[in-house]
Amino acid sequence: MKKLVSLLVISLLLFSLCVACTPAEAPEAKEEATKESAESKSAEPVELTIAIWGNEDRQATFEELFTAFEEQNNCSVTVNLVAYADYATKLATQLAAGNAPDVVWLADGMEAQFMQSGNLLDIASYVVDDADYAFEDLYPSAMAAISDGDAVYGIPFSFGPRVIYCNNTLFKEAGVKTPAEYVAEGNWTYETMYDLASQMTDLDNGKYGLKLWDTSSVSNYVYAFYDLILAYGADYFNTDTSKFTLNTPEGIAAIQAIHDLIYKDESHLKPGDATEFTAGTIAMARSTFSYAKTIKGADLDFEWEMVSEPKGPDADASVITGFAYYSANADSDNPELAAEMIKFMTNAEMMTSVVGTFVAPRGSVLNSTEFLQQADGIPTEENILEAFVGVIEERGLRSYPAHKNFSLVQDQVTMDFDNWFAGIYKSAEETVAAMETNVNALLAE
Amino acid sequence: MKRKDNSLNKDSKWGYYFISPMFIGFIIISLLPVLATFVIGMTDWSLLNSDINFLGFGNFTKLFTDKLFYQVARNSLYFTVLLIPSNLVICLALAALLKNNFKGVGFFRTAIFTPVVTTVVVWGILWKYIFQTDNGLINTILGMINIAGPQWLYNAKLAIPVAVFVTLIKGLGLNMVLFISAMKDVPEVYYEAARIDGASKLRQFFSITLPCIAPSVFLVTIITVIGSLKVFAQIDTLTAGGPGTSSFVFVYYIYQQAFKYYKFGYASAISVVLFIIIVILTLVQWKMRKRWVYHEN
Repeated sequence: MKKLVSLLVISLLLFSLCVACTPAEAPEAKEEATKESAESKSAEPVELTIAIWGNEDRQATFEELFTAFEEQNNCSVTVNLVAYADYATKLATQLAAGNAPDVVWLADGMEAQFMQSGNLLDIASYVVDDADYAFEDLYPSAMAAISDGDAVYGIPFSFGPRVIYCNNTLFKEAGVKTPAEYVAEGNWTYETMYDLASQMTDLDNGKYGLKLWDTSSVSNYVYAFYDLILAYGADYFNTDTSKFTLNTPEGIAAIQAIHDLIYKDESHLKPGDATEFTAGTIAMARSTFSYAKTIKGADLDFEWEMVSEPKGPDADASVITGFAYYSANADSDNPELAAEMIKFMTNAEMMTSVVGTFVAPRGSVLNSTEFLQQADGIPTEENILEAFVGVIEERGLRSYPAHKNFSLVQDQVTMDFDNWFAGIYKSAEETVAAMETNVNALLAE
Repeated sequence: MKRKDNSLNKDSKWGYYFISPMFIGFIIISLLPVLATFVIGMTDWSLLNSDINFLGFGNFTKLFTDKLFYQVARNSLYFTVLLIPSNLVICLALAALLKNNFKGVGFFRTAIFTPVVTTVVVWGILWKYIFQTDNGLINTILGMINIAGPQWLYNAKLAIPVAVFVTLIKGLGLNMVLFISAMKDVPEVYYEAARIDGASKLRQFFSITLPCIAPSVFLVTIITVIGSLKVFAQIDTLTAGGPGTSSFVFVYYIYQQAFKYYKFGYASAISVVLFIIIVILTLVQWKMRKRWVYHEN
């Protein structure tokens, strides 16, 4: 009896182990299942997944947006929320494991990596010639980084210049002219902004003049400082991103200005400081246009408005823009439906309806009433035209550079800036010289 | 006699049957991945590229020319050297203080043990706010007495000591409990004899307590050495390896190579080196235990 019970227990344990270690579906079984699935397509809803970053509110919003798509296509859409910091890593791991979502969001250089590795589906045949979709309404410059010849690997849904958010209550209390007044006078320059930041700083009361980037964690300093560097007539890289070009008098002046803001004037938050603009203690903070939605949702007790990024010594300098894209997984079980989902989410009508959150690079969206006349009239139409549309039209946008080693390059630049901020490098000259050596080695690989 | 042998074999057989699920699980979950790491370390496998080439010892020889790897090794060693003695001394002192039952001892034991059950990431983020330069708790307190606090987490000389401090506070409770438990097992008669001989409390600690709890000290040392060489979450949340590369340690470097740059081959090679270092250090300590562990069953 004892023996029998022991044998049964061992058999059960071994069986459990075997079941646990058996692949979810053998390839043949999967093929068979796909066939069966195709046959019963009309009866059983197909399951699609999409990965996004953001917060639970955004997830809920998107789940609601997909309702119409689910009804039209007899499918069910699962929205996977992933923290932005882990997004690229998680996606790469899922792609390697073969269990990535059907549709994904991509941003900040991710598109180059995933395009080169062949992980993205070419959706040109779905979007380019569809008259209803109005592919030509998308800015060609916005499609450059996500296309390769005739192939289209994604559709941008968010872009644009960053804007400066101003706490006008703080300016009024201090009796200092607001940035908007300088804009109206035509004197809105980086020098003016530094001067205002200095005037508005009161460290004893925890008040800061300026916050140009998210200081709470290690940021991508290439992106954080790019506009300022361009405004000084300098650039990180040459046109084909094959050489580091910041080691010039203009480049040194630009990064010296950043250092002075933090450590000489002490008007900028120091690295590691997690204070947010919504706390009401920062006079000016630069962020994306969509940050306005966060500010509006925070129920603030101060007045704010947005102005454009200031001009620097090179008044004609363009500003940098990142793009966020919808792309389809090349290994999706439902490529057609994945492409349809992208079309559904990026058509002019849909992009206009979500313009309070994402501004798509479509001419029709930027000219829409929904974009220019936001809910509650905040930001005002004048604000939007000056800070966003005006900058695109007058100064022009530059795409964020791409290179197969760009994540390494970004980290190297960030580490070298970090070394300067921590006092390991002693000067702007030493910092750019170190960057030049380190970055050129990575670009040449 | 023959019957007894058969019985033993029978028992052994059933013993093996019963441990087989655990053993198979160990092979699948631990041993095979370790072996796979050795193999992957000899390739140029990138997570985003299915084209894999065999490099032999290419990744390992590359390590010798990687300046950052040397810094990573130095940083990890520095972290370990700072953590081990401070951890042992403070935990022993706390255990000696809190082993006796006095009013309120439960509160102190609980307070010191609480960080152990806190998630390491939450713990790291919490201390990141505390060590913030301008608005952090510590510098705000220092500011009240007119002391300008440093950039704790953005200072190359302070980044690792701060990470050690945060790790130390988190792990104190567990080691303290191990020591208290060991101290309570020391027979009271030893202390009685020592008191009769006129030995002071300090003498009793060094001549009776410490030798008697040597196996626990040895265990804590081994665990702390391995833990400090594998430290990751505290570094990731507090400094992200910075400023610059001044707090890059082994596992952070492995994580960065594998999951940020997708260089699984190179990351695996570093993992193999870390594995060998840990094995060597553990073997050395194991050998040395005969010299300093007097009281062992």
